[in-house]
Amino acid sequence: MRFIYLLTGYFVIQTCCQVLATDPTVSPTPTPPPTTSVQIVNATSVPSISLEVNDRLDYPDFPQGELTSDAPTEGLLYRYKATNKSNGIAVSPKSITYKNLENQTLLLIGDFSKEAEEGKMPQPVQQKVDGENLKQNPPNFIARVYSHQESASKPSVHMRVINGMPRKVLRFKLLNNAPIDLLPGDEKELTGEPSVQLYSFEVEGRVIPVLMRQDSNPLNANIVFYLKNGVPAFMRFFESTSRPSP
Amino acid sequence: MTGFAGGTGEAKRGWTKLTELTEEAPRRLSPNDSVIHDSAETPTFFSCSSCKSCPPVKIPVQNPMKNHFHKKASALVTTLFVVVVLSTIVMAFMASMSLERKIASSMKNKFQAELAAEAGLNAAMSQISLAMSTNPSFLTGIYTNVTSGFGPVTTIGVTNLTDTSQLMPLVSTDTTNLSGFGSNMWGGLTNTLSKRESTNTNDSVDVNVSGSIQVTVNTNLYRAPWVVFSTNSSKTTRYAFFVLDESARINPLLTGANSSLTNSTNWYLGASDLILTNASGQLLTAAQQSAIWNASNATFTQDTIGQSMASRTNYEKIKHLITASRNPTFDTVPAGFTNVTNRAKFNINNLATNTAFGFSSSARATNLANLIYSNIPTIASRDPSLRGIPADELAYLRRLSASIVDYISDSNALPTSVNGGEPAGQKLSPQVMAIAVRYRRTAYSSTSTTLENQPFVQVWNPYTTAIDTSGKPIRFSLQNRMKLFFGTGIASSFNTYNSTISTNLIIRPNEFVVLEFPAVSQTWTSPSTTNTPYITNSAIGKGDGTYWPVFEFYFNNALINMQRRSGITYPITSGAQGGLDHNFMNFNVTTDRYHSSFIPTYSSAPTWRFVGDPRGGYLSSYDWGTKISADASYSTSTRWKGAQMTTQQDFSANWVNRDFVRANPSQGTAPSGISQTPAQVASGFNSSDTNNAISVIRNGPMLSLGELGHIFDPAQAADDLTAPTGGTPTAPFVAGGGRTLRIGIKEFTTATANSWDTNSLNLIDRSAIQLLDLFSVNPTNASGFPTAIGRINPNTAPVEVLAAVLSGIRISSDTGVPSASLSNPTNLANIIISNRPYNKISDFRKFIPMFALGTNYTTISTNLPVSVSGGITNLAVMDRMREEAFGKFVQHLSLQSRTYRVVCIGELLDNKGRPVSRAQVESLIYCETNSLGNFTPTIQWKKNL
Repeated sequence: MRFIYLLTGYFVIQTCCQVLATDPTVSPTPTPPPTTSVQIVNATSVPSISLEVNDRLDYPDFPQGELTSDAPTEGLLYRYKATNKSNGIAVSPKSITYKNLENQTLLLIGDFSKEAEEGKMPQPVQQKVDGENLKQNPPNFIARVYSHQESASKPSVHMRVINGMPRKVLRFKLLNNAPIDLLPGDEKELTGEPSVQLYSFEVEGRVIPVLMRQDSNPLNANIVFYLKNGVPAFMRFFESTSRPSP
Repeated sequence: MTGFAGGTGEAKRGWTKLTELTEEAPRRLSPNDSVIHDSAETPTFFSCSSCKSCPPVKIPVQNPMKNHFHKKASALVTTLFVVVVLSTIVMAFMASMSLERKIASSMKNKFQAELAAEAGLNAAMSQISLAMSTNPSFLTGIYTNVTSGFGPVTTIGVTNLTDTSQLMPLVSTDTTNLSGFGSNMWGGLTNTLSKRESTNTNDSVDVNVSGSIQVTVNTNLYRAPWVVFSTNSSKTTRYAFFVLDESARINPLLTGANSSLTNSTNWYLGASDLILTNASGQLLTAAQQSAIWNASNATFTQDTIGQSMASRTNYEKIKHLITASRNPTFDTVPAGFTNVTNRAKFNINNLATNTAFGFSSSARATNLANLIYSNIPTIASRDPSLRGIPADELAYLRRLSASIVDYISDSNALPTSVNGGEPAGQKLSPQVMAIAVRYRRTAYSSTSTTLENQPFVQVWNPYTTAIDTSGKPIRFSLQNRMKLFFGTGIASSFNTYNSTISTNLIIRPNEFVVLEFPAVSQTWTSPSTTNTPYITNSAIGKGDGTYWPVFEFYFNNALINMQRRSGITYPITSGAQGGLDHNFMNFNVTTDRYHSSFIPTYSSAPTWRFVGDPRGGYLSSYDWGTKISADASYSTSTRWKGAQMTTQQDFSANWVNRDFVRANPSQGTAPSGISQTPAQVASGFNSSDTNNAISVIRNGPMLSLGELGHIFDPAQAADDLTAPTGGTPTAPFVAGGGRTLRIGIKEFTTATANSWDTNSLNLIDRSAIQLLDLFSVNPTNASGFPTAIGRINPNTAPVEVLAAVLSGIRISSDTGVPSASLSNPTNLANIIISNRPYNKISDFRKFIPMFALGTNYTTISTNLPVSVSGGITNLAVMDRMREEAFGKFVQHLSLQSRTYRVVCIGELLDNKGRPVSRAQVESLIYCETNSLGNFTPTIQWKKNL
């Protein structure tokens, strides 16, 4: 494992040096920390949630489209409980065990509806559920964890596209390839992308151009789509393997 | 010749005419005739006092001694004497009657010859009228494809001087030749030249009789075909005329009072700029010029200029090169332009300032852009990042027009914004070059922290004129600021910064100053704290505009600089990127920390380049480096009150493929440590920096169209004129700036279809010099035409005249190098002649490259390097000086001649076809353009030779 860390570190530094050779505006990136850190990204499709962490209301107002600092954790096991601030609907606490000594992102998606089974997003053509089944489904809320170190080991430039929009299909097309349709909750990892690329996403006929520019580290980006007031929106978050020294 | 003291020529010619037209008449005695006595009753001889050739008349005289012996015969003698006297009187009377009869006959012949000459003059006017009435933008040139030994023929081209099918030769020609003018069957030029060059002297005649047109220099024949017509059954008349362009000559009454040809900024003040006494292109000696000026109050014709000359020989040396005409030329738009009225050129000074063309400067810029787009749409496609979409191409033209409007409008006017808020216009305003934000953690606990932040803005005066900031508020706004990460709290941004300060500075040309804005504080909270607050490296957020602060800078309440173009990447829509670069920063100490961002100047593969031109900063959303990664870097890697270190702001190296910058401004001063703010460092300004300011802005009307070369070009193009890498037609983010319009030097070119000049792969002419075909800076007359006097037509002017104009040019606008003159004006004039014809002003590009050659200048060739590696031209001076010679030259030129000199011979022939009488007339024909764009040739001056 130590060898892998060293190898990863070598490639990061090597890539950094190459970038510096072409772009004098870039400064060296700090080396990965020997700690565990977590960044929380709120891409839910409700305006704001409150979020309890380990039974403590750390985030009484956590607007959609925002993220937290990636502060070091105080342990590896965390329990989260989210509430839709609009209607007070809360989800059952979810427990997550983080990987030790890695930077990670906790992505929150969902709209707190009860149309889909637990762990799944409401789909465009939702199987009709009766009132009884509706009551059985928990509020739609999904928490996913992405390891930054894991992404860093993949060929650059790496980008992950996540469809966090309930009931919406996200379509996009890569150069010379057939269009890709992502159903709600699906994601697609792209590797070896151009450092600067204008992507064109489409949701129900509406085109959303997104310029991605990753010409220096960390080279690992995520773009997640969610619904803001019912309209498709997106946010980017990046998987840095660095974090501040104490 | 008239006009010369003594009138010897007239007397001689009068005698010649007399002998030519009369037989020798009997001579009458005059009272002054002397009497010669014989010694011995020999007859006394009367001798003519007026000449020595007449034989004496022998008249007997009586001896008084013999009278005494022959008294009776005296009556007979007396009677005989009386009879002889009376007979002599009668014979003399009869002879006189014969002479008078012959004189009367000669006068009649002369009159008929003069009528023929007059008819020729009228024919010339008709021919000129016929030629130019078809197009108000007609051109006057000379047709040189003639047989050796024959002088060129002045021609009028309907739309150009190239296509012979529409060239009208301005020599006499059979009226049958004229009937087909303007049609496909037009062969008048060929027929006329053929007859003119015929070896049969009955076909043509040299109208340069006795050197009446030209005595010296060349021996070419000014032959013109005879046009014959009968007056009655027994006699025939004929005429032949030759037309010369009066705009090929120079008026010595107008020259020499000003010195604009040597002025560094005022490139044109009128025909008086020209000096005819320079050794390298001398037409007059100083004494001759002075004498001409002294007599100017009584000088109305060219011949009276001759009165000022010391000798006829002196006058004849230059008489074919000078004129006394003060007739204006009219600036007209050449053929092919569609959206013009009466072909009048547009006065660009008027368009930029007159509210009739738009109440606001933005409206006037838009109007100007539309005018260019409708007439020269290819210029709109200069910007490869916006090429192909009409709305985008117009956006480029609006930016360009805003720069033009602001260059011309007065200093009180505000910069012009276009395209929904872009600060495209460039007034005399400081330009932002660097921004430092000082941070200081002033409070810190487990759940909250407070940071103070304070911006310092370094501005640059890139202009050759000082900027006075007094009374002009300066506002700085920092928006979309980066997020602060603190503990486990939700990352939230620094508040938008917005503050206004007042200063009282005189920012000298090429000087950098630092503006200090007030500090503000902000507090963040966190549920729990396991680390200190920090800001991420902006690289983390590349592609996400929420990580990139952007600024706006207002001077005198007008937006001057900003990052990101409105509507494209700012306000942030979908693809925002770039802004103020910043490094990771952990606020784990309470001392000051800095983020420093500079407008970068560096190149990158393959061809795009950021040249660090703040005038185009609004075009680019690329990130401003160079960030600093540690506190120590603040004092080791940043410079203030001057340029950054050469690796970061090296204009000389990075503008070389654009406008050449001869010398960088002085480097700024490094802070002594983290506790010294950018405003506290010593200035790096050196007084010699003033000489190296890169940009010129007039804040007043253009004096020469060559000043368009000072206009900032907002085209976003890489060094090879491609769209910048990474950019799309709607999202370019680098490679703008570093260019002004190329007017006086060769246009930017590449060997590809992206070239701005035409080549085998690009047949679209995108060159900026085409603007000279549409605009004028001359005052507009009552008929709506810009006019000027004393202009020279380079299509017709002889080498001596062109050399005289060039000889006065001295380039001096780059005050960091010695001023210089053109080293060999005659050679350059011959280059101009060899590149004829010029169908429009933009065709001057054919000879423009000669102005960029350092070897064509006297001082520079010996004092400065003349080669700039990587550059298109090799004159190693600031761009404004590279374009100066052309800027000073072009304003003295015009392609629209309106005054012609006609020399016409009329002859009366007898019934055997032999000339009986000849008359010659010379006249100036002036073709004034009326408000409809039409002309009526009028005789302005005439004399019989």
